[in-house]
Amino acid sequence: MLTAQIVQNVCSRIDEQDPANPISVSNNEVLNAVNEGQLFASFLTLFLVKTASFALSGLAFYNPRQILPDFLVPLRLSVGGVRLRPSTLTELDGWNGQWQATAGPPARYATIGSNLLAVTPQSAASMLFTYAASPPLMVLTPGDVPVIPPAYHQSLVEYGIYRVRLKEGAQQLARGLTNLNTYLNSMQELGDWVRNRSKAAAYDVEPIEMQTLDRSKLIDDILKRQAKRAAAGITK
Amino acid sequence: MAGEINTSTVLDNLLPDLHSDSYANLTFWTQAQLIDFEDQGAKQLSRAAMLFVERDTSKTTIIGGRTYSLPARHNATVHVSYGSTPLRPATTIEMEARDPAFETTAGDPDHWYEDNLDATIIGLAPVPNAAGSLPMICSVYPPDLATTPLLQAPAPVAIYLTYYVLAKAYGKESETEEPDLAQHCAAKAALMEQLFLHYYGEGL
Repeated sequence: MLTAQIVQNVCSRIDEQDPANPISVSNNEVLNAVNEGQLFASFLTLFLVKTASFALSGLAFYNPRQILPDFLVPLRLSVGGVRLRPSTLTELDGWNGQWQATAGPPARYATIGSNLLAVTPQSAASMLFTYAASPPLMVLTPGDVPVIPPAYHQSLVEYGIYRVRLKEGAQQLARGLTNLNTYLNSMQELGDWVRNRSKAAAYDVEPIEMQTLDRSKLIDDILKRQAKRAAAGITK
Repeated sequence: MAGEINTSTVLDNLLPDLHSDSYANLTFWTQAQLIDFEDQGAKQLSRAAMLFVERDTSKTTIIGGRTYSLPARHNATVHVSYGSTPLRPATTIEMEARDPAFETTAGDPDHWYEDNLDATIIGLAPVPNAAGSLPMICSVYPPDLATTPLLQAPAPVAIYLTYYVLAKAYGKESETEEPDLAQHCAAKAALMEQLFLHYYGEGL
Protein backbone atom coordinates (compact mmCIF):
# COMPACT_ATOMS: atom_id res chain seq x y z
CA MET A 1 0.00 0.00 0.00
CA LEU A 2 1.29 3.48 -0.83
CA THR A 3 1.79 5.96 2.00
CA ALA A 4 -0.77 8.30 0.46
CA GLN A 5 -3.28 5.43 0.33
CA ILE A 6 -2.70 4.65 4.02
CA VAL A 7 -3.33 8.30 4.88
CA GLN A 8 -6.51 8.31 2.80
CA ASN A 9 -7.69 5.07 4.40
CA VAL A 10 -7.26 6.61 7.85
CA CYS A 11 -9.31 9.64 6.78
CA SER A 12 -11.96 7.40 5.30
CA ARG A 13 -12.21 5.32 8.48
CA ILE A 14 -12.70 8.41 10.68
CA ASP A 15 -15.66 9.31 8.52
CA GLU A 16 -14.21 12.10 6.42
CA GLN A 17 -16.59 12.65 3.48
CA ASP A 18 -13.72 13.39 1.11
CA PRO A 19 -10.74 11.37 2.39
CA ALA A 20 -8.41 13.07 -0.09
CA ASN A 21 -9.26 16.48 1.41
CA PRO A 22 -10.03 15.89 5.09
CA ILE A 23 -11.58 18.62 7.22
CA SER A 24 -11.32 17.42 10.83
CA VAL A 25 -7.62 16.60 10.47
CA SER A 26 -4.84 17.68 8.13
CA ASN A 27 -3.01 15.27 5.84
CA ASN A 28 0.20 16.14 7.66
CA GLU A 29 -1.33 15.27 11.02
CA VAL A 30 -2.39 11.86 9.68
CA LEU A 31 1.01 11.35 8.06
CA ASN A 32 2.72 12.12 11.39
CA ALA A 33 0.42 9.60 13.07
CA VAL A 34 1.27 6.91 10.52
CA ASN A 35 4.99 7.69 10.79
CA GLU A 36 4.74 7.32 14.56
CA GLY A 37 3.04 3.95 14.04
CA GLN A 38 5.86 2.69 11.84
CA LEU A 39 8.57 4.00 14.20
CA PHE A 40 6.81 2.40 17.18
CA ALA A 41 6.58 -0.87 15.22
CA SER A 42 10.30 -0.78 14.47
CA PHE A 43 11.11 -0.43 18.17
CA LEU A 44 8.61 -3.02 19.35
CA THR A 45 9.66 -5.66 16.83
CA LEU A 46 13.10 -4.65 15.42
CA PHE A 47 11.73 -5.58 12.00
CA LEU A 48 14.03 -3.27 10.05
CA VAL A 49 17.52 -4.76 9.74
CA LYS A 50 20.38 -3.00 7.97
CA THR A 51 24.01 -3.83 7.34
CA ALA A 52 26.55 -1.07 6.87
CA SER A 53 30.29 -0.74 6.70
CA PHE A 54 31.70 0.81 9.90
CA ALA A 55 35.28 2.08 9.81
CA LEU A 56 37.27 1.19 12.92
CA SER A 57 40.18 3.56 13.40
CA GLY A 58 42.07 1.60 16.04
CA LEU A 59 40.30 3.21 19.00
CA ALA A 60 38.55 1.33 21.79
CA PHE A 61 35.41 3.52 21.90
CA TYR A 62 33.02 4.83 19.23
CA ASN A 63 29.70 6.61 19.07
CA PRO A 64 27.78 4.46 16.55
CA ARG A 65 24.97 7.00 16.21
CA GLN A 66 27.30 9.52 14.56
CA ILE A 67 27.96 7.02 11.76
CA LEU A 68 24.60 5.22 11.74
CA PRO A 69 21.98 7.87 12.61
CA ASP A 70 19.13 5.33 12.51
CA PHE A 71 20.89 2.87 14.86
CA LEU A 72 18.71 1.19 17.45
CA VAL A 73 20.55 -1.94 18.65
CA PRO A 74 23.45 -4.06 17.33
CA LEU A 75 22.58 -7.44 15.85
CA ARG A 76 25.81 -8.80 14.41
CA LEU A 77 29.29 -7.28 14.07
CA SER A 78 32.08 -8.87 12.08
CA VAL A 79 35.54 -7.99 10.80
CA GLY A 80 37.02 -9.90 7.89
CA GLY A 81 34.22 -12.44 8.13
CA VAL A 82 34.96 -13.17 11.79
CA ARG A 83 32.16 -12.39 14.18
CA LEU A 84 32.76 -10.20 17.24
CA ARG A 85 31.35 -11.63 20.45
CA PRO A 86 28.98 -9.40 22.42
CA SER A 87 30.17 -8.74 25.96
CA THR A 88 29.65 -6.44 28.91
CA LEU A 89 32.29 -4.09 30.28
CA THR A 90 32.61 -6.34 33.34
CA GLU A 91 33.28 -9.33 31.09
CA LEU A 92 35.90 -7.37 29.14
CA ASP A 93 37.57 -6.25 32.40
CA GLY A 94 37.72 -9.88 33.57
CA TRP A 95 38.89 -11.15 30.19
CA ASN A 96 41.80 -8.76 29.76
CA GLY A 97 42.81 -6.01 32.17
CA GLN A 98 44.30 -4.06 29.26
CA TRP A 99 41.43 -4.58 26.82
CA GLN A 100 41.25 -0.82 26.13
CA ALA A 101 44.81 -0.79 24.84
CA THR A 102 45.42 -4.15 23.21
CA ALA A 103 46.32 -4.15 19.54
CA GLY A 104 45.04 -6.90 17.29
CA PRO A 105 42.09 -7.98 15.19
CA PRO A 106 38.79 -7.06 16.93
CA ALA A 107 37.21 -10.04 18.68
CA ARG A 108 34.71 -8.64 21.20
CA TYR A 109 32.44 -5.66 21.57
CA ALA A 110 30.17 -4.10 24.14
CA THR A 111 27.46 -1.48 23.79
CA ILE A 112 26.88 0.84 26.72
CA GLY A 113 23.50 2.53 26.65
CA SER A 114 22.30 3.74 23.27
CA ASN A 115 25.35 5.61 22.04
CA LEU A 116 28.64 4.06 23.13
CA LEU A 117 30.38 1.11 21.51
CA ALA A 118 33.56 -0.52 22.84
CA VAL A 119 35.69 -2.77 20.62
CA THR A 120 38.67 -4.91 21.62
CA PRO A 121 41.39 -5.69 20.59
CA GLN A 122 41.90 -2.55 18.54
CA SER A 123 43.03 -2.16 14.94
CA ALA A 124 42.08 -0.09 11.93
CA ALA A 125 39.61 -2.20 9.99
CA SER A 126 36.33 -2.14 8.13
CA MET A 127 33.63 -3.71 10.27
CA LEU A 128 30.35 -5.07 8.92
CA PHE A 129 27.72 -3.69 11.26
CA THR A 130 24.30 -5.34 11.16
CA TYR A 131 21.80 -3.46 13.28
CA ALA A 132 18.14 -2.86 13.92
CA ALA A 133 17.25 0.51 12.44
CA SER A 134 14.52 3.08 12.83
CA PRO A 135 12.59 3.61 9.58
CA PRO A 136 12.94 6.68 7.35
CA LEU A 137 10.05 9.14 7.54
CA MET A 138 7.30 8.44 5.04
CA VAL A 139 6.21 11.27 2.78
CA LEU A 140 3.11 11.98 0.72
CA THR A 141 4.93 12.11 -2.60
CA PRO A 142 3.67 9.61 -5.20
CA GLY A 143 5.28 6.20 -5.03
CA ASP A 144 6.37 6.37 -1.38
CA VAL A 145 5.73 3.13 0.51
CA PRO A 146 6.29 2.15 4.14
CA VAL A 147 9.27 -0.11 4.91
CA ILE A 148 7.24 -2.30 7.26
CA PRO A 149 6.30 -5.60 5.53
CA PRO A 150 3.22 -5.15 3.29
CA ALA A 151 1.19 -7.60 5.39
CA TYR A 152 1.32 -5.00 8.18
CA HIS A 153 0.46 -1.87 6.18
CA GLN A 154 -3.10 -2.20 7.45
CA SER A 155 -1.71 -1.98 10.99
CA LEU A 156 -0.48 1.52 10.18
CA VAL A 157 -4.05 2.45 9.25
CA GLU A 158 -5.23 1.12 12.63
CA TYR A 159 -2.52 3.10 14.44
CA GLY A 160 -3.29 6.23 12.44
CA ILE A 161 -6.96 6.05 13.43
CA TYR A 162 -6.07 5.59 17.09
CA ARG A 163 -3.58 8.43 16.98
CA VAL A 164 -5.79 11.07 15.38
CA ARG A 165 -8.71 10.16 17.67
CA LEU A 166 -6.55 10.29 20.80
CA LYS A 167 -6.82 14.04 21.36
CA GLU A 168 -10.63 13.96 21.44
CA GLY A 169 -10.66 11.94 24.66
CA ALA A 170 -13.80 10.25 26.03
CA GLN A 171 -15.62 8.02 23.52
CA GLN A 172 -13.29 8.87 20.64
CA LEU A 173 -10.36 7.79 22.80
CA ALA A 174 -12.18 4.56 23.66
CA ARG A 175 -12.81 3.86 19.98
CA GLY A 176 -9.20 4.63 19.16
CA LEU A 177 -8.00 2.24 21.86
CA THR A 178 -9.69 -0.67 20.11
CA ASN A 179 -7.67 0.27 17.00
CA LEU A 180 -4.52 0.41 19.14
CA ASN A 181 -5.32 -3.05 20.50
CA THR A 182 -5.64 -4.38 16.94
CA TYR A 183 -2.33 -2.75 16.04
CA LEU A 184 -0.56 -4.21 19.09
CA ASN A 185 -1.92 -7.70 18.33
CA SER A 186 -0.44 -7.44 14.83
CA MET A 187 2.87 -6.19 16.22
CA GLN A 188 2.96 -9.12 18.64
CA GLU A 189 2.65 -11.41 15.64
CA LEU A 190 5.33 -9.52 13.70
CA GLY A 191 7.56 -9.45 16.79
CA ASP A 192 7.26 -13.23 17.20
CA TRP A 193 8.22 -13.70 13.56
CA VAL A 194 11.22 -11.36 13.92
CA ARG A 195 12.29 -13.12 17.13
CA ASN A 196 12.27 -16.51 15.39
CA ARG A 197 14.25 -15.05 12.51
CA SER A 198 16.70 -13.45 14.99
CA LYS A 199 17.18 -16.78 16.76
CA ALA A 200 17.87 -18.50 13.46
CA ALA A 201 20.42 -15.82 12.57
CA ALA A 202 21.81 -15.88 16.14
CA TYR A 203 21.54 -12.10 16.40
CA ASP A 204 22.90 -10.50 19.55
CA VAL A 205 19.67 -8.71 20.53
CA GLU A 206 16.10 -9.94 20.19
CA PRO A 207 12.92 -7.86 20.25
CA ILE A 208 11.04 -7.64 23.51
CA GLU A 209 8.46 -10.35 24.17
CA MET A 210 5.27 -8.34 23.86
CA GLN A 211 3.33 -10.81 26.00
CA THR A 212 5.28 -9.33 28.92
CA LEU A 213 3.93 -5.84 28.26
CA ASP A 214 0.94 -5.00 30.43
CA ARG A 215 -1.85 -3.36 28.43
CA SER A 216 -4.27 -2.95 31.35
CA LYS A 217 -3.46 0.67 32.21
CA LEU A 218 -2.88 1.50 28.56
CA ILE A 219 -6.18 0.18 27.26
CA ASP A 220 -8.32 -2.12 29.41
CA ASP A 221 -8.90 0.11 32.48
CA ILE A 222 -9.88 3.05 30.30
CA LEU A 223 -12.26 1.00 28.16
CA LYS A 224 -13.94 -0.39 31.30
CA ARG A 225 -14.41 3.11 32.74
CA GLN A 226 -15.76 4.40 29.45
CA ALA A 227 -18.21 1.48 29.24
CA LYS A 228 -19.46 2.23 32.77
CA ARG A 229 -19.94 5.90 31.89
CA ALA A 230 -21.74 5.02 28.70
CA ALA A 231 -24.04 2.69 30.64
CA ALA A 232 -24.77 5.52 33.08
CA GLY A 233 -25.48 7.90 30.18
CA ILE A 234 -22.41 10.08 30.82
CA THR A 235 -20.86 11.19 27.53
CA LYS A 236 -17.64 12.62 28.97
CA MET B 1 25.42 16.07 14.59
CA ALA B 2 23.98 12.91 13.11
CA GLY B 3 21.28 10.90 14.86
CA GLU B 4 19.73 13.82 16.69
CA ILE B 5 16.10 14.37 17.59
CA ASN B 6 14.88 17.94 17.30
CA THR B 7 12.75 18.23 20.42
CA SER B 8 11.29 21.52 19.15
CA THR B 9 9.87 19.63 16.18
CA VAL B 10 8.42 17.03 18.56
CA LEU B 11 6.49 19.84 20.27
CA ASP B 12 5.48 21.44 16.95
CA ASN B 13 3.95 18.12 15.90
CA LEU B 14 2.07 17.98 19.20
CA LEU B 15 0.11 21.18 18.62
CA PRO B 16 -2.85 19.48 16.86
CA ASP B 17 -3.10 17.12 19.85
CA LEU B 18 -3.52 20.20 22.02
CA HIS B 19 -6.21 21.58 19.69
CA SER B 20 -4.05 24.41 18.46
CA ASP B 21 -2.28 25.43 15.28
CA SER B 22 0.39 27.57 16.95
CA TYR B 23 1.95 28.20 20.34
CA ALA B 24 0.29 31.61 20.42
CA ASN B 25 -3.13 29.98 20.15
CA LEU B 26 -2.64 27.53 23.00
CA THR B 27 -5.37 28.20 25.57
CA PHE B 28 -4.49 26.15 28.60
CA TRP B 29 -0.75 25.75 28.28
CA THR B 30 2.20 27.87 27.28
CA GLN B 31 5.12 26.96 25.06
CA ALA B 32 7.43 27.30 28.08
CA GLN B 33 5.29 24.80 30.02
CA LEU B 34 5.41 22.31 27.16
CA ILE B 35 9.20 22.62 26.91
CA ASP B 36 9.38 22.14 30.67
CA PHE B 37 7.23 18.98 30.46
CA GLU B 38 9.43 17.69 27.66
CA ASP B 39 12.58 18.45 29.64
CA GLN B 40 11.17 16.59 32.65
CA GLY B 41 10.41 13.67 30.35
CA ALA B 42 13.94 13.52 28.94
CA LYS B 43 15.43 13.59 32.44
CA GLN B 44 12.96 10.98 33.72
CA LEU B 45 13.89 8.72 30.79
CA SER B 46 17.60 9.12 31.50
CA ARG B 47 17.01 7.77 35.01
CA ALA B 48 14.75 4.94 33.85
CA ALA B 49 17.05 3.61 31.12
CA MET B 50 20.65 4.07 30.07
CA LEU B 51 19.95 6.20 27.02
CA PHE B 52 22.57 8.87 27.42
CA VAL B 53 26.08 7.65 28.09
CA GLU B 54 29.23 9.73 27.98
CA ARG B 55 32.88 8.78 28.22
CA ASP B 56 34.66 11.63 29.95
CA THR B 57 38.40 11.74 29.33
CA SER B 58 39.02 15.20 30.74
CA LYS B 59 40.18 14.14 34.21
CA THR B 60 43.79 13.54 35.21
CA THR B 61 44.93 12.28 38.59
CA ILE B 62 47.30 14.34 40.70
CA ILE B 63 49.80 13.04 43.23
CA GLY B 64 48.05 12.71 46.59
CA GLY B 65 44.62 13.56 45.11
CA ARG B 66 42.08 11.17 46.65
CA THR B 67 38.86 12.47 45.08
CA TYR B 68 37.93 13.73 41.62
CA SER B 69 34.85 15.46 40.25
CA LEU B 70 32.34 13.49 38.24
CA PRO B 71 31.25 14.72 34.79
CA ALA B 72 28.50 17.32 34.53
CA ARG B 73 24.91 15.99 34.38
CA HIS B 74 26.02 12.77 36.07
CA ASN B 75 23.37 10.17 36.85
CA ALA B 76 25.44 7.06 37.57
CA THR B 77 29.03 5.91 37.21
CA VAL B 78 29.32 2.88 34.95
CA HIS B 79 33.06 2.31 34.50
CA VAL B 80 36.29 3.98 35.61
CA SER B 81 39.83 3.37 34.37
CA TYR B 82 43.24 4.56 35.44
CA GLY B 83 44.96 5.05 32.11
CA SER B 84 43.75 1.99 30.25
CA THR B 85 43.47 -0.24 33.34
CA PRO B 86 39.93 -0.76 34.62
CA LEU B 87 39.33 0.04 38.28
CA ARG B 88 37.02 -2.11 40.39
CA PRO B 89 34.01 -0.51 42.06
CA ALA B 90 33.86 -0.84 45.83
CA THR B 91 32.12 0.55 48.89
CA THR B 92 33.80 2.41 51.74
CA ILE B 93 33.20 -0.56 54.07
CA GLU B 94 34.99 -2.85 51.64
CA MET B 95 37.86 -0.40 51.30
CA GLU B 96 38.17 -0.10 55.09
CA ALA B 97 38.21 -3.88 55.45
CA ARG B 98 40.95 -4.07 52.84
CA ASP B 99 43.06 -1.26 54.26
CA PRO B 100 42.00 0.89 57.25
CA ALA B 101 44.27 3.66 55.95
CA PHE B 102 42.87 3.49 52.39
CA GLU B 103 42.27 7.25 52.35
CA THR B 104 45.99 7.94 52.63
CA THR B 105 47.79 4.85 51.33
CA ALA B 106 49.56 5.88 48.12
CA GLY B 107 50.03 3.75 45.03
CA ASP B 108 48.49 2.94 41.66
CA PRO B 109 44.70 3.09 42.08
CA ASP B 110 42.88 -0.22 41.65
CA HIS B 111 39.46 0.64 43.12
CA TRP B 112 36.96 3.48 42.92
CA TYR B 113 34.17 4.31 45.36
CA GLU B 114 31.56 7.03 45.68
CA ASP B 115 29.48 6.18 48.74
CA ASN B 116 30.07 8.40 51.78
CA LEU B 117 31.25 11.11 49.41
CA ASP B 118 29.61 14.17 48.00
CA ALA B 119 27.37 13.16 45.05
CA THR B 120 29.59 15.04 42.61
CA ILE B 121 32.88 13.30 43.39
CA ILE B 122 34.50 9.90 43.18
CA GLY B 123 37.28 8.47 45.34
CA LEU B 124 40.27 6.38 44.29
CA ALA B 125 42.23 3.86 46.33
CA PRO B 126 45.12 3.64 46.71
CA VAL B 127 45.57 7.40 46.44
CA PRO B 128 47.40 8.11 43.14
CA ASN B 129 51.13 8.70 43.43
CA ALA B 130 51.46 9.80 39.81
CA ALA B 131 49.60 11.79 37.19
CA GLY B 132 47.48 9.65 34.88
CA SER B 133 44.32 9.89 32.83
CA LEU B 134 41.06 8.95 34.55
CA PRO B 135 38.47 8.08 31.87
CA MET B 136 34.97 7.61 33.25
CA ILE B 137 31.92 6.16 31.55
CA CYS B 138 28.80 7.63 33.07
CA SER B 139 25.08 7.57 32.50
CA VAL B 140 24.09 11.23 32.27
CA TYR B 141 20.91 13.26 31.91
CA PRO B 142 20.44 15.39 28.82
CA PRO B 143 21.11 19.14 28.79
CA ASP B 144 18.13 21.49 29.32
CA LEU B 145 15.97 21.25 26.23
CA ALA B 146 15.04 24.94 26.49
CA THR B 147 18.60 25.87 25.56
CA THR B 148 19.71 22.68 23.77
CA PRO B 149 16.77 21.35 21.77
CA LEU B 150 18.82 18.81 19.80
CA LEU B 151 19.05 15.47 21.58
CA GLN B 152 21.33 12.71 20.36
CA ALA B 153 19.17 9.66 20.97
CA PRO B 154 17.39 6.80 19.19
CA ALA B 155 14.43 8.02 17.12
CA PRO B 156 11.78 6.31 19.35
CA VAL B 157 12.68 8.77 22.13
CA ALA B 158 10.50 11.24 20.19
CA ILE B 159 7.47 8.98 20.81
CA TYR B 160 8.28 8.81 24.52
CA LEU B 161 8.55 12.60 24.78
CA THR B 162 5.29 13.04 22.87
CA TYR B 163 3.30 10.90 25.30
CA TYR B 164 5.09 12.24 28.36
CA VAL B 165 4.14 15.80 27.39
CA LEU B 166 0.54 14.80 26.52
CA ALA B 167 0.19 13.01 29.89
CA LYS B 168 1.38 16.11 31.73
CA ALA B 169 -0.68 18.50 29.59
CA TYR B 170 -3.96 16.59 29.89
CA GLY B 171 -3.29 15.72 33.54
CA LYS B 172 -2.87 19.37 34.45
CA GLU B 173 -5.73 20.82 36.46
CA SER B 174 -7.68 22.91 34.00
CA GLU B 175 -10.91 22.93 32.02
CA THR B 176 -9.34 20.57 29.51
CA GLU B 177 -8.19 18.06 32.10
CA GLU B 178 -8.78 14.58 30.66
CA PRO B 179 -7.92 11.93 33.28
CA ASP B 180 -8.43 8.97 30.93
CA LEU B 181 -6.35 10.54 28.19
CA ALA B 182 -3.65 11.48 30.70
CA GLN B 183 -3.64 7.94 32.12
CA HIS B 184 -3.37 6.41 28.68
CA CYS B 185 -0.49 8.69 27.68
CA ALA B 186 1.32 8.05 30.96
CA ALA B 187 0.87 4.29 30.43
CA LYS B 188 2.23 4.59 26.90
CA ALA B 189 5.27 6.50 28.18
CA ALA B 190 5.74 3.78 30.84
CA LEU B 191 5.54 1.11 28.12
CA MET B 192 8.21 2.96 26.15
CA GLU B 193 10.37 3.04 29.29
CA GLN B 194 10.09 -0.76 29.48
CA LEU B 195 11.31 -0.99 25.88
CA PHE B 196 14.25 1.34 26.51
CA LEU B 197 15.11 -0.64 29.63
CA HIS B 198 15.01 -3.91 27.66
CA TYR B 199 17.28 -2.63 24.90
CA TYR B 200 19.68 -0.33 26.79
CA GLY B 201 19.66 -1.35 30.45
CA GLU B 202 18.94 0.59 33.62
CA GLY B 203 19.76 4.28 33.87
CA LEU B 204 20.43 4.38 37.61
